[in-house]
Amino acid sequence: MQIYDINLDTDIILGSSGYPSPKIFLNCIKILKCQMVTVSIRRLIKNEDNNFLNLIKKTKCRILPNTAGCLSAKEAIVTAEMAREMFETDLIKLEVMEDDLTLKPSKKYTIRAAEALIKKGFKVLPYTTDDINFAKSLKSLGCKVIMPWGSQIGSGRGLENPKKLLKIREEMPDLTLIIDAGIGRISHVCETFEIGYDGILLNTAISKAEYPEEFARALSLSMEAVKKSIKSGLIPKRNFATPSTTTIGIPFKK
Amino acid sequence: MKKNIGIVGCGIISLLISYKFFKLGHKVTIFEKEDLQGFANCSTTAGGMISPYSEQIHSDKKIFDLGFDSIHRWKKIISELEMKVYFKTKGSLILAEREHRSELESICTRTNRYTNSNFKIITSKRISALEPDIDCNDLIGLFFKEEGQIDCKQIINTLINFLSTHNCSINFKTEVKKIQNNSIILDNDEKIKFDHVIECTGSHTLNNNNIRAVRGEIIEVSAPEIKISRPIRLNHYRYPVYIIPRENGAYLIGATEIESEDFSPVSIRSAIELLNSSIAVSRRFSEARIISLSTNCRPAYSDNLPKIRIRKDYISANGLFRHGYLLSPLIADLVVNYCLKDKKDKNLNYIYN
Repeated sequence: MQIYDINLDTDIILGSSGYPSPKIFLNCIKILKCQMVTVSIRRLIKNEDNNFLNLIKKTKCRILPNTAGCLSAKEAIVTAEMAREMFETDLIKLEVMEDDLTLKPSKKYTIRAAEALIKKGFKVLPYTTDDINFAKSLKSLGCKVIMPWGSQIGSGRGLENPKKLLKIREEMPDLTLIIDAGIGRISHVCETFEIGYDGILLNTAISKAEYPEEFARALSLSMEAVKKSIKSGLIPKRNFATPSTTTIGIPFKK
Repeated sequence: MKKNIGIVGCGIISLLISYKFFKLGHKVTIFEKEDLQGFANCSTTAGGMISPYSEQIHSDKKIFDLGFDSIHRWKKIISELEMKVYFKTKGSLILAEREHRSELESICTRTNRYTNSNFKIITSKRISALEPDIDCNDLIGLFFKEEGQIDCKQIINTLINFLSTHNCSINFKTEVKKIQNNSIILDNDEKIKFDHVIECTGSHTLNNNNIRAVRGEIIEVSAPEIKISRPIRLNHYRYPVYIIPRENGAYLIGATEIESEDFSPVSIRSAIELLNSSIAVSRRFSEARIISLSTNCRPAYSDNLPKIRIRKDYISANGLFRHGYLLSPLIADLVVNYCLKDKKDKNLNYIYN
């Protein structure tokens, strides 16, 4: 999947929090052949010699810093600038929340922060709702990647409004679209790719599974399966029954 | 044969190793870089829960295997010490809001499977019978009978006192520069030779790049009017908190877990979250008085399991992470057994490295 000028071999970005141990997290990265990991810089990293971070760096994964926990555009901009300095990357996963409880992305402040950050030369990956106008505004500002939620962060409820998400896909065929939140099950992953999205970003579904590595293995298989199925040329959905054998002259009809 | 043992660090694991060596008649010398006055390390800023069952919320099954008989090990140590230490074994509770029943059920199933037990979710009525001072109208819980808590500062001080009055020498304010071939080289280049040197320096480890530090924050409050006798964990998926009773109406409220080697004071956000959650357990905590807010960093290996590293120059016991009080009695025994009998516990191969 294409993240600005970077081409990732796998269509997955992993969040880094809440794993039973760093070792399990590193194993999941390996299992999924993941090449990009997002880290929250507001709480996690205060000094340069952070051993957890050093462990991630050893995997050669690209680090995608995020602004999780920011509630205003200003806060997000400052956090992004800190991240750029710390990680020497222009990439920023922009999260500006409406409030601390629902963690719903704030349309107003995300757009405001994205505009400022793009002017400062950042490559912004904004976290949005499934609101088409939200996505359109970000596209017109120059975002090449947009990451709508499937449902609320950590809720595991999957794609609650697939039709709205599909609309975004149809309106912006050239952008990289990634489902950022709400994925809890393998079926949600399949649905994401089936509606034409380019990738998934997930954390809780893996990190909080009882056996994260097992879930990672299942995830890897499912991504392979769903992509193969799409390549196979899926039949269109129809509003009427289409028998696979002809109905004329059935000899044993009762 | 009487052995001469040098120990670097003065946390719970080093003190228990020293104590075990002393009991077996060996000579122990401890080196600690901090002063006894204001002495604080991650062993003194810990919760001191001895809770092999409830740790299954977020730990490897191995933590249970290593810690399941910890309560009995502690009972033995405390009774031998013949000194007053606050140590309770009345069990502990995991509480959850009723609407989060499915999360508690999943903890219950998993704990039962890992520990081969048959725990069941208890109602608010039962919680109330165990701990009348908890506001438990909307709460359900799990009760683990065979758990308890120990006052960390008391046991650390007691062990320091005991050892220093029993011919063990504890050198505070003495920085060890290097350990070489079972000799300790001090900051002033003085070299002291031992039969064994044991390194227990936690996240301040001398030469162990595999250890990382995990920040934890804990708040001590005084609320003598609240009578809660067992450690309580509120299992909230966003604001988890534990409350651990201490002597004379004191409680510890903890603890955050932040992946950072950061010893700076408690943040406002952590304090608000922890204190806010405590009020969910009992509204009367709102009138508690804050005694202290402390931070420390716990040492952990990448799999969050403890390790005994056997090296030519020394042996290290480190990486006890959030399980210092749960696991130190066992780890101390394993270290002593290895030094004296050259014997490893075959069932615990993953501990040795």
